[in-house]
Amino acid sequence: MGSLFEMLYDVLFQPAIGMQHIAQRKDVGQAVVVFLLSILIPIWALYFGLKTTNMFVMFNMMIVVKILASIVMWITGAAIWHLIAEFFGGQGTAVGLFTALGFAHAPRIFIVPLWALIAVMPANSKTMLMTIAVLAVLLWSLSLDVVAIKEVHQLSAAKAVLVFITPILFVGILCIIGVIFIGSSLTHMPMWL
Amino acid sequence: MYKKSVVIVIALLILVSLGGLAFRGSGSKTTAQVDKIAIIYVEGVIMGGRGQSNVFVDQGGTDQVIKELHEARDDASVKAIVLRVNSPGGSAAASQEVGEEIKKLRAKGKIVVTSMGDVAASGGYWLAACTDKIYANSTTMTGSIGVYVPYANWEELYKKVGIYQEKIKSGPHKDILSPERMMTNEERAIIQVMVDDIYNQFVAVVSEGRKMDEAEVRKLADGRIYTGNQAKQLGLVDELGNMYDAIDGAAALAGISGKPVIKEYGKQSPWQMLFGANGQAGSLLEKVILNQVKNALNSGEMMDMSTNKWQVR
Repeated sequence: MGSLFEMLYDVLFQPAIGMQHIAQRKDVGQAVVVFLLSILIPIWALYFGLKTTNMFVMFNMMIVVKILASIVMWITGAAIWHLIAEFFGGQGTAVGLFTALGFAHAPRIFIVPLWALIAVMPANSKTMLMTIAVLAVLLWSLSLDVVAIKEVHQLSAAKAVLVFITPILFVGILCIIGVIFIGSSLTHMPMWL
Repeated sequence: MYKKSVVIVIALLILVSLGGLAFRGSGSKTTAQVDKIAIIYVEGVIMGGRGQSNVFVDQGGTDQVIKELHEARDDASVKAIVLRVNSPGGSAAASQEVGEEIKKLRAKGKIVVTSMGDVAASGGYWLAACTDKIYANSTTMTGSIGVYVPYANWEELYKKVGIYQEKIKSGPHKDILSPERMMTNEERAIIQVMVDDIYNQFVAVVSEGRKMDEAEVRKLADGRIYTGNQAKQLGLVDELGNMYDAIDGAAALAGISGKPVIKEYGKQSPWQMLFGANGQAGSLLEKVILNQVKNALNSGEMMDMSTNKWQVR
């Protein structure tokens, strides 16, 4: 358990060293524990937040969607980034990257203390502060994904960023092509008032 | 040891934050406790049953409306209900069922206000007549207080096509309204008595709900439709206004001060949207009929066909 604490510390505060250790050890069990805690603790906080709103009826559905989507993203993300990293000359293993990406979810638990802090702030600044907090945690988590790719596959920072954004660019291009096709077909439709 | 201590401190910080959020959630007055106005939608043809709603069709059965009325009745925070009616009418029994449920809701001390959309005629008006106050747009189509039984005689067509249907009946009127033979005078009289009976019930509902003399209602209830403007002048509608005017009116009647908190019923989950409220696909016939209803509504014409024999129109 002690090593898990140290690993978490390294991932959060000296991520390059932490991800190197994780890539060597490939302890999937620990990654699953960190992943589940990182998903479930914010959901627990969300439960207290939604309990006071009309959206509480959707909570069960949100839990299922959040957990399933996170698991799918973790697995497919590891698979796709590993493949692209190999194209870019990466040396790491898929299991190593999968484990490191699991640990990369860790910053998400910081949304809970941030949420608690924002809850006592003035009402007119809450939305803005919450947006900033969510963006900061998201950026931290995404930057850990890049570090994980870099350290696991022993790539340069530029190549790691390229590996990270390639699937996003691919999806973006597909969307643009889709919009162009839909747009061109819509222009042939009669207009109604 | 230092690293372990830092992580433990972070874990404690998260636990304290969770505790704080839990305390704050239970300590503050929740929106569940704030006085609310529920909005319940009655849309399309009023038909009994569970209906269906998916990405292809959206056909409401009155079971869902009644369920929503029950939920609103049992929710202590709901002080008033706005019934948003956008319906050309439908089955007499289904309209009556929902109407009676509205009356029970009012008996429990809840305010029920109707907001009429494009059309709130016949069965739609039956429901409105059961509420405390009616709001309509000046161009809303309403009224159509009356009853009819659709009947088609396809005897000649069947002869031309070569279809000869025989029935072994337990009684002479068992196949009354059958399309393959002419209705007898005796059968016509039977149906007329039934139509009159339902019509009288409809008139009684309007008379009671609108606090109008029954003879006065009968003068207006010749089946014709009225604009919201005409209906207001005739006393069939209380106020001209849109749904938000109805919400404000409901809030005033319920004694809710300030901007009312709205609770909308009838929202579908994505699962229900995809697979229907009752989890089964509707029959092709129902889909065809629904499309006809939609076309009739879009063109402003009244429908002359339905899955139900008894139409409150």
